[in-house]
This record gives sequence, structure tokens and C-alpha cells, in this order.
Amino acid sequence: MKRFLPFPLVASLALLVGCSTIGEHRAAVADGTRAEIALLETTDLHTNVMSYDYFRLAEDKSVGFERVATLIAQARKQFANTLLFDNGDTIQGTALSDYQAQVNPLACDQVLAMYKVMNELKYDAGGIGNHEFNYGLSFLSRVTGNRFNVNLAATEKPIPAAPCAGPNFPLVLANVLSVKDRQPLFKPYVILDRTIKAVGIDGKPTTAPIKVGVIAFTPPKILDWDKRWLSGVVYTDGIKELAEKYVPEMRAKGADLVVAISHGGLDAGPYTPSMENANWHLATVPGIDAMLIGHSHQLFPNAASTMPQFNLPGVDKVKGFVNGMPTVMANFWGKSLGVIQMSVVAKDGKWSVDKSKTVVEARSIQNADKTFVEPMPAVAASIAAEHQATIAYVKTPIGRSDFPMTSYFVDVGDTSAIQIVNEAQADYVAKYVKANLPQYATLPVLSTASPFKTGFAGGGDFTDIAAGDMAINNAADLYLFPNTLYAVKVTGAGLKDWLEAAARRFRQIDPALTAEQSLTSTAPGYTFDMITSRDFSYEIDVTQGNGNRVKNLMYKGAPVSPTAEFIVATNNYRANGGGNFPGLDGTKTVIASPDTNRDVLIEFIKTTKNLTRKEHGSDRSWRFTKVTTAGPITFKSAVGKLPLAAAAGINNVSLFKADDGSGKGLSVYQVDLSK
Amino acid sequence: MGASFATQSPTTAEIDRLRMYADAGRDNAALDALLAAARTGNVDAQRAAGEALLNLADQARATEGIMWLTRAAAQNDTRAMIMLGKAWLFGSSAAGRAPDARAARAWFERARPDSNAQAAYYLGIMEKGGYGEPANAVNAVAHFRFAAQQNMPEAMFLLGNAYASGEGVDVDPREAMRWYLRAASLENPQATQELANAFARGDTLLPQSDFQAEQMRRAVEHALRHPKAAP
Repeated sequence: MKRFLPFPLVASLALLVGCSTIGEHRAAVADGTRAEIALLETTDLHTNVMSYDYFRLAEDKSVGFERVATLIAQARKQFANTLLFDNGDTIQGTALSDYQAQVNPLACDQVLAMYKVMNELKYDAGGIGNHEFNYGLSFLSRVTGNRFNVNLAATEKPIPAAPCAGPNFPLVLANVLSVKDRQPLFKPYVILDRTIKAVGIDGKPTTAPIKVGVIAFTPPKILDWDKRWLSGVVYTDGIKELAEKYVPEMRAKGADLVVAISHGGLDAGPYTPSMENANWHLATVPGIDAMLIGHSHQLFPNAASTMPQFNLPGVDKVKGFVNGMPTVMANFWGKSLGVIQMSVVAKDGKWSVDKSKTVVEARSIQNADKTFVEPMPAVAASIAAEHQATIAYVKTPIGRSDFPMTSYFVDVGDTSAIQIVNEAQADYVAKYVKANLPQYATLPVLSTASPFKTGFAGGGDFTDIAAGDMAINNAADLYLFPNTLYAVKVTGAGLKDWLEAAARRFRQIDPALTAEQSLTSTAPGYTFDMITSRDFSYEIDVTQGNGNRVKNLMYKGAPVSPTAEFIVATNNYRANGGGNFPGLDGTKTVIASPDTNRDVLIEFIKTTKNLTRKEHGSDRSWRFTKVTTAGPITFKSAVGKLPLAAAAGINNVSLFKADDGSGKGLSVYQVDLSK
Repeated sequence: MGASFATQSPTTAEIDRLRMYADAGRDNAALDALLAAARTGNVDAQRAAGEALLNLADQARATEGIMWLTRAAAQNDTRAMIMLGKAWLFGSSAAGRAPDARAARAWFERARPDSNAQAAYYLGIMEKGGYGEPANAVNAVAHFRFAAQQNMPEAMFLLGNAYASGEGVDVDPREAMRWYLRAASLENPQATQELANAFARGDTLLPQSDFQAEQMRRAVEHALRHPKAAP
């Protein structure tokens, strides 16, 4: 698979690797010998190998390792000696990573697509980010070629008896330890033996050995973020304390240079071992020569940055220094390459850095004229099979429906694009409560969902999934946002307040007016949360003002008491105050799932397989309170959709004006509120 | 291993490290070292021991944890007061305690909401929601504003909501969007979602852009992969 050979200067260092391991003691480098070394950094690649968006199934030139690879090749032509490092958040983030982790899990003898192309680009070492833990410790152990000595969480697959393939460059991480044996999960550091091109004191080219120590850290907050895999299994230790312990050890083992790869940003608050962004403090540890940072998805150095973390005392955002330490952060998703050029000079047989010559920069894949550098073709060629398999996965039918799921008439009661979401959410929450929250086992579980697209931008701006096979990307159409599933505990009174806030979607209607009145207000469709359950019913009386229009709430045939309690499935946005719904302020949350509503929906469709309108597209908990109006009550939707309303059982709408005059493909429809 | 960290008078950082060992590391020697320091009156150790014990999901230990937090609070430790306020606001299933809004409010009040962003944030939520006392939107906005000015993204988001809805302050959609922008720059997922909505619809500050809306959705996705713990 050595398809990267066309690049003659790739790994001018790597070609010489091994030379220095022949003898126990290397020859001393003559005093005055000089060399230039460039440290190259990628970070937060998130498996954006290709410049491609798997959900839109379209090219996205603004991201992609295949373009950073071009920058790497250019840097290797430019500099006599380069070392290439990755900062982490590497193996998670696109449909390609999900495919290799969850859909068609990587075989033990295979290498992740992301690591495969990194192998071919001859990375020297890598760190571990927080997102490396997203798929669990078993997966991380396998894909990194390790055998973690841990007592895995009960839901994890066992770690194979022999180490799996993994990348062929070292991955290091110092600050995550196993509860089982109190040892670091990964090698805390590595010392690379390299031979570099140098210039002797006589001005003649020569080569010389160098030892480069690499240590890496990840944010201690992984213990919160991936609790389900990590709780009771691993713990973290202080970044600064470990640097103070290991860096002298690395120096004692002969490291001429020490590079700290730290997945995190900068925070000048008082140092604590558990802080998320410890690197402002890490920069003060003696013996480190350069810091490669990440995690914040930002560029550093960047003279224009307004980010608070790059405007702290001791931070030179123009030249790229933190408390005097050369530091780079190379953006994210393969948008940039970090470069730290260092000049080293030999004295007393040891290399030391001539700090006056250090230059730090982050190079973008976007050119000054807004075009993008060309991709390195070998990258795409190397993972063509994985890329195509991911596209096929995104297009794979996960189920079939006998009805179109659309939002054209959602404001008048068509729940065809809502009910399946509510069913999936309620199913997930009911199962979760049963397994994990026995104290709530007797409470009814409900779910709310709202339409994401309701024609704001015109007739094309509606959810519209045709009957027939449903694919993964249809789930993204049904659930536009990558929210995570939350459940809240609310009272009957709280639930009424919630539905009242949702009913702000409608204007107050005066039944006596003979003039045309618009049914909907300026409240966006995505604030119109609704319940779609056979067990629950309520009315919305649009003749009443806001806060006083949701009536006759019934659960299983009985009126809902204001003090009754319910568990209601929703998302992180609503549960934490999104849309400013009364009482939904983060204090009612009983489940904060790491799973996305969209993934929960996909799983539900996969399990249910055949979706019929009768079972999954016709329950509507809410109705308008009947009222006869003197004039027409109208709303806008896409042109020519009346048959869909009829098919959904909405029999009180008719066409009012074929063309609403906006030129956006909208008609004006009329709803008869007396029916 | 934790015992090796125990010193006569551990520093704040040393205590935080012991807490990490005792809590996530399930290191009993570290917990014992924390408790030993707590018994000498070390306020950081009292708070850290309280926090670690509350996380042990054992009623006796959790009750002991509340006791140590209360001891730390008696030494005017605002962080312990916040932890106690939260234990009352949310209830502590480990300690077998139901929520008590009035007790929660009393702890947040003691934690100096005029100088402590977390105390202000939680009092803002209690004032807005009318927990324990009648709702007061104006007071809520004052608390959210103070916490937002201390760079707390959750408070920035709720202050944005206040400006967007006109609750407790004159409605001002542009000011709302400014606070959402600041919160989103600190990776608040809810604020980032507001920006996505604003870009999708077009806003006086953020011109309509499907591309930007999609970028914001991807930013939401990323932020939600490492959700910040509640303040």
C-alpha cells in the first residue's frame, strides 16, 4: 500500500530511521553543527479524510485531510527535516468513522481509514484527544493496537487476546490511567531516534542523530463526557504534575528535544489538576521545547483572533508563543497544518534550540484567492473502498414506509413527519427508565417533537420524504439537528405551560372578523412542540390569547391533574432553555443521553422496519377547539399539496389562493376551524 | 498510591489531585488522605471529600459528604455552598434527599451572588422559574447578566433568551443575538443552535446563509460530543 512514493522527500527523516539504533552509544555531534527542523501538526481531523460531506453526499473543499496532505508534502520539500505529529480527535466525527466503529466494525487485522492514510504520510507520533473515547475503550484499544489492562464497562465488547493492527506510528498519552492496575493506558511518552540533515561548523552538509521525546495529554473532562465507558474504569492525573515527572525522565534518557502534544486550549485561571485546558500552565514546565495544542477548533497563532484564550497575559497570538513556549493549534477537520520551525545547534555533544530563530505558523488549505489547495490523489485512492462503503451505508434502506412523511400541513394537524420521532424518543426513554431509573418507573412517558422545516424559505423548505425505502440520510431530513436526547420530569401544570408556549405558533383569531386572518404567527415552526400519542389529547383554542389556549388535557381518558408527574422526551436544546419554554431551564432533566435523537430515530426505524400510516403516521394528540369564523383563516404551504392533506386525514383545508405572490412556490390554504 | 500524595498541609492543587484519585480512581488511600486533611480543618479537603463521597452512590457515604460540605460552607467556602445549593435544587438520590427549593435558595444566597457567577446563575434560574418564591423576571435578568459578564456561557444563553422574549428586560433581538454569539464562541450548544436558526432564516446581525447554518449545525454536533457538565 505504499502509494505515496511519488513524493520523494516524504519522510526524509523516516528513511534514516533505525540508523542510530545500531550502537548503544551514538557518536557525539560536533560542536557548532546546526540543523533546521520543522514540527508539523494536524489536530481535530475528526476523520475528515476526504473533502466530502456524507450527509449531503457532496464535495466540501473547505475540509479534508487529502488537502492537508498536500501542505505536508510541500513542507517536506521546503524543510530539510520535518517531524509530523497528530494531536488527536482523529478517529471520530464523520459517517466514515461511525461506519468503521459501529456499522461494520473494523476487523482486528485492519487499520482505520484515518490511521491508514496517516501511516502513508509517515506520521512520527500522535496524541489522543477526548473524542478518541467516544466509541468506548474496547474499540479504542483495538484500533490503536493496544491491549488496555482495564475492567471494561459491562456494555463493552471484550478486548481481543492479541493486539490488533493499529497505526504504525506510536500513540502516546500520559494522563489517563487504569483503575485496575493504576498504570497509564498508553505509553506516556516515546523517544524517537532520528537522523537529521545538518550543516557542520565547516559549512558542509552532514547528518547527525537526534532524540526527540514526545509526551501527550488529553482533557481530564473525558470522565464526564464519556462516563458510560469510563466511569470506574479509568481516571486522570494532573497534566502539569505528570509533565514535571516525565520530562526530566525523558531528558535523562537522552531526549534532545521534548515536544508536548496536548489536546486542549489555554486557560490562565489558577492551575488545578482537573482543569480542561491546562496548556497555559503546561508551557511553564521546564524542559519542554514546543507545544502542539488542539481541542478548541481554532487557529493559533492568529493575529486577528478575538478568542479570550488567545488574548491572555503571556500569550503572543501574533508569533505563536505561550509563556515563551512556541505553540501551534492547527484548526480542525483538516483545514490547516501547524508548523513550528526550529533551529538547533550542537554544544557539548547535545542539541539545543536557538530560540531566536523559532518561527510558528498555521498554514491553511485555503489560498489567498479563496481557492483551495489541490488534494493529494493518493489519499483518496488509499481509502476508496472505505469511502464508497460509507456512501453506500448512508444510502442503505433502514426501513420502509407506506406513506410520505411531510410537514406541509403540520400546522393543521398532519403528524406524518412527527409521530415517528416521538415514538422513537418515547421508546428509548421508557426503556432507559425501566433499566436505570426505578424511582420513576410508575410515571407515564410522553414525547414532544416539532417540525424543523415549515416553508420559511419557500415551497422547497418543508420536510418531504417519499413513501418507500428510508435511508440513513432521510433520518437527517426528519431530524435536522444533531441534538442529543434528553428527558425531563414535569408536572401536569408544567406540561400545560410547555404546550402553551408551543401554541405561540398560532395567532389569536377573532371569530367575528370577516377579513382574512393568518393562522400562524412569526413563531418558527421548530418551536411548535407537540405530543402525538394515542394516550394523550389536548385542544388548542386559537381564539384565546397566549398562555390561555391549551385546554382539555387528557391522559388515558382522564383529565391531567396539575400535580401529576410525567417524564417527557425531548432534546438538549429544549431541556436547557432553547426557545425559552417556561420551566425548561436545565433543572428538570432526568436523562441527558449521549445518543442523538437522530440515532435513536434510526435505531427505531431499523427495528420497526415497516412503517404504516395507520400505526406510525396518523396519531394526533391535539386538535383546534372548534369555532365558526366569519372570515377565512389561512396559512401558507407549498403549491399543489392538497392531496397530501386528504391522505393524512386532514379534511378541513382547501385552496384559498394558488399563488401567494411571493414567488417562492407557496400557495395560500384555508382551514375551516368549525370542522 | 494516593497515600504517597498526603502531606502535612497539601496545596489546593494537591487536594484536587487527591480528589481525582479518590473519585474517578476509586482510590481509598487518596480518600483517607483527603479525610485526614479535612479533619485538620483544611477547607479545600473538606469540600473535595464531600464531593467525592457524594459521588459514591452510597447513602451513608453521601450523607457524610453533605456533612463535610456543610463544614466547608461554615468556613465560608462558596464552592461548597454552591454544591449544597445544587444538592437541594436537584435533590440527591444518593443522599436520599428530595429537592427543596427554599433550602437551595438559601445556600445560593449565602454564596454571594454579587460576586460569584455560579450562585448568580442558579439564583437567576430560581427567580425566573419562581422556585421557592414567586417568579421575578427582572431579578432573574440581573443575576444572568452578572454571571454572563463573568464569562459563563449558560448565563449568556439565558440572558439572550431574556432579550429575545422581553422577559424582565426590554425586548431587543440584536442584543439577544450578541449574547448568543458570545455563548456560542464558548461552545454552548443551545446558543450555537440559535445561530444556526438565525442563519437559516436570516437575521439583522446574521445574514441568511445556508452554508453558515450548516456549519453551525456541525458545531452543535461537535459541542454535544463533549457536553459541559452543569455549572
